[in-house]
Amino acid sequence: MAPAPPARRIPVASVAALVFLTAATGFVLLVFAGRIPLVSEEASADGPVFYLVPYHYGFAIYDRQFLEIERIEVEEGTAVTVHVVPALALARETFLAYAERTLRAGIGGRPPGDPHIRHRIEEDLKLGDVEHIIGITAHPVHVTTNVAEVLGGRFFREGAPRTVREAVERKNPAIKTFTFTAKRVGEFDVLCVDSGIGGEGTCGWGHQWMVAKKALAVR
Amino acid sequence: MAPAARKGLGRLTRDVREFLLVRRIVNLRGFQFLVVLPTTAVVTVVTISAAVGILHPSFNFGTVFTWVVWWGALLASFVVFGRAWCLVCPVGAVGEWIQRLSLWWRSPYTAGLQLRWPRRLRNLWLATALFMVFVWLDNGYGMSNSPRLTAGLIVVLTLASAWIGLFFERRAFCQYLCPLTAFIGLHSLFSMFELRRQDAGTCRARCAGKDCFRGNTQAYGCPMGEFPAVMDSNLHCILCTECVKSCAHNNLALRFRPPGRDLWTSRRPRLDEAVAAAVVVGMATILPVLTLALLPGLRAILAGVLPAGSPPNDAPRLVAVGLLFVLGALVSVGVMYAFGRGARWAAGAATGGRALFAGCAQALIPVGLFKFLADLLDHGLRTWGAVFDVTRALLLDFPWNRAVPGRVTVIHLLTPAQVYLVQIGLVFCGLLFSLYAVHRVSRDLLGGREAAFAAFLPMAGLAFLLTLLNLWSLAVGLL
Amino acid sequence: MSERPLGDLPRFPAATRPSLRRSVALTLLLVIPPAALIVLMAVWPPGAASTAEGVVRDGVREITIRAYTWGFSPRVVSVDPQETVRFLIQSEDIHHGFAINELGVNVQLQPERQTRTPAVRADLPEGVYTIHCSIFCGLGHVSMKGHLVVGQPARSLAGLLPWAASLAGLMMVAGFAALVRREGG
Repeated sequence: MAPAPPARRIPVASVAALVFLTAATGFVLLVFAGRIPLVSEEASADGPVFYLVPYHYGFAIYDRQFLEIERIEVEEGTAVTVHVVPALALARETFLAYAERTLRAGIGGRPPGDPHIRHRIEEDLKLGDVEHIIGITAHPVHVTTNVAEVLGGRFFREGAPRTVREAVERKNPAIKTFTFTAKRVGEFDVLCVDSGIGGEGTCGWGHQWMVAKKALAVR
Repeated sequence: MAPAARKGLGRLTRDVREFLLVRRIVNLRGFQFLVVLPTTAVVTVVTISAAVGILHPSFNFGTVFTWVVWWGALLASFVVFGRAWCLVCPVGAVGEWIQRLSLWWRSPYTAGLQLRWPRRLRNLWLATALFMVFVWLDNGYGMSNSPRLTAGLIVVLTLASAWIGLFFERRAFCQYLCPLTAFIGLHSLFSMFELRRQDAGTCRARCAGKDCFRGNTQAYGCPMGEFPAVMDSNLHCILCTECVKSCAHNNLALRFRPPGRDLWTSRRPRLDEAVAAAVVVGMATILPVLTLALLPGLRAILAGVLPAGSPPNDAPRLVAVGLLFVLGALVSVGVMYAFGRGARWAAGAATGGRALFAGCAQALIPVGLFKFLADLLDHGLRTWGAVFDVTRALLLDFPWNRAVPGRVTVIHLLTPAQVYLVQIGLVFCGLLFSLYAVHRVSRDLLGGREAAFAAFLPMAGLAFLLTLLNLWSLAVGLL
Repeated sequence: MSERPLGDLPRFPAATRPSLRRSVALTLLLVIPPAALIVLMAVWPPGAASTAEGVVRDGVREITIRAYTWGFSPRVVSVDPQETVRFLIQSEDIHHGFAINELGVNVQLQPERQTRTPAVRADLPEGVYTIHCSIFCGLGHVSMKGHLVVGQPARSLAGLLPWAASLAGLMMVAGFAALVRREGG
């Protein structure tokens, strides 16, 4: 075979490569410096809005008019906005009313009405197991509440909002909002996700049963 | 001298290209591109997932596939195929594509300046230092459980490869700058596969062009700057098969061989290679123990001098880890040097302490390799379920990997005692190979049977010490 | 720094007579003390082996554990069979995990934050179970283990394995050396 002559440099290609690499390097440096966010929030301008109340140990769902509904039902492709209103951010009576739902339903093999359940809920509050990590299966939703931080650990203060509507209208700082696009058709669970990546542990004794089955339905 | 196309498994140890299918595939101009393509696709998905995907360590495809699957496959590949990862690595390939202005075809053009790599840097010193930085990033910052840092690493290395490929000739990045080149190359000395010239006489007497090094119109010259006609070690060979395609005399063979051969048949290792070997072996054996013992104390001392922060951005801890790594490297080199000199003294040799240190360091590579494999076994058995969880999570939101698939479960396959028994087997494999390598090194370096045996004993003692260290550090779960 | 190979040279000649006695003495001197130190450090890690007592609150024993690079302190936790326990773990440095497979406990640990596991009942046969780090945290991750001791289990033979392995390794080296000697180098 013939020996190879030295490779012929193509100046245009060199310049193009230089420009491209400079741009790529600049882009990466900006990302590292935090100037360019890689993870963008999806727009939620006109899509349906829901309110989700995580409590010990379940979820209550409300529509835009604050009427309670059984589950979120949307069309495929819709951009959905969900405002998370932790039950602990509300008044004591309101929180207890939600906790009664767990008591009435029974949980973790305990029969409805079992006082052990109430005892566990009280214990979790005392120990500070108060945050929920909300996820929706098959969806990019992974949101952690931060009631403890926002309320300085003092729950059920005087004048705490008594209803979800009141909390929203008063722009309660414990409310977290997330949006997602319902790209998949089917029924999906809303759950309190496994031990938080923020090291919060779990919301306590009932965490493993805190799953609202088929709470999201996409047609 | 073309090998006769005889049947039988003897072909495996003569030249695997005697198998027709293998020959056809290897001779393809696009062979390397064909194997790089799937890896590039996977690494792209891994990078996206690590850059924007869910931060939950059990759901992020990027981190699990990098630090469990890729790392595990890398270590396992050393045992059989040497630098096989380098063959398929997309990071090095990107630099090459830009430099050659070609994806697989033999292009007469280049976009690069083709500068020669500086003579003073043509060694493993920089690579060894970068390897230590790489391990420091992992242990200091927790890079292997951070998706964002993992993505950052892949992107930085790819950009570095591209820039270096644009300015320097051949695969300068892969040979001198890749943080893993020393790690991969030294462990490849153990592997059971090699690319070598078949008949020395053909290269010497009949070949004028040395196309294997220079390239010709059909194929490139060796991208790692090796001269395949005399290459006797797997240290730098990335199995790209350019030389196989360019050799006019068909004198290069790909073949299987007994494991560990390069540890005792290649030319005596240089100082930079010896130190790199000592560091790599020390990384598996001495360094974890040293860090475990001294980190809390050293950090406490440094906290009095440096401002503490929130981990991992805690300066005292980061500096302490860095200092301990440097100390660990020095201890490894120092211990091997001491044993090498001791071997020389025992053998009554006039000189050769450095050669014995270098031979000893290289001979101990199997001890380090099999310790890494034992670590991998434990980690793999405990986290194997994560591979399915993260694949499920990725497929639910491809390629962004932001979705939550549900709950996570962890299942054990073997009990701790069973795992340990398998680990003992691995560690003893490493010990036996190293003992044999030490025996061959001492025999080759020293005249006389008495002298060789006198030198063998202390170095075998060091192999035993490192094995003991491995056995007890792996046994922590049982004690 | 020298780039040429250390020796494409003939074998190194002897200056004095090689001495087997010298070699054996040197080997023993260089190997025995470090070997003893290694074994000592492994079986007696200072400060980490103490058993946690924990605080009992409303029938649940809370045990506080520190996680660090690379270990747990205390390393051994003893509970009674059927006892309900909860672990409070704090990572001192980077991301670690805390898992006890048999109890279904697996939590991620964040630096400088205490993580609380759910209360679990030690509904297990008497024995020793592994506490391990479930998040890859560096070179020593595989050694980052502890023990959960339920009840008063009989002494396990598993702890003898490293001793047996060490002896086997020693015999392997001695046997190899004997082979080398016999075959004349």
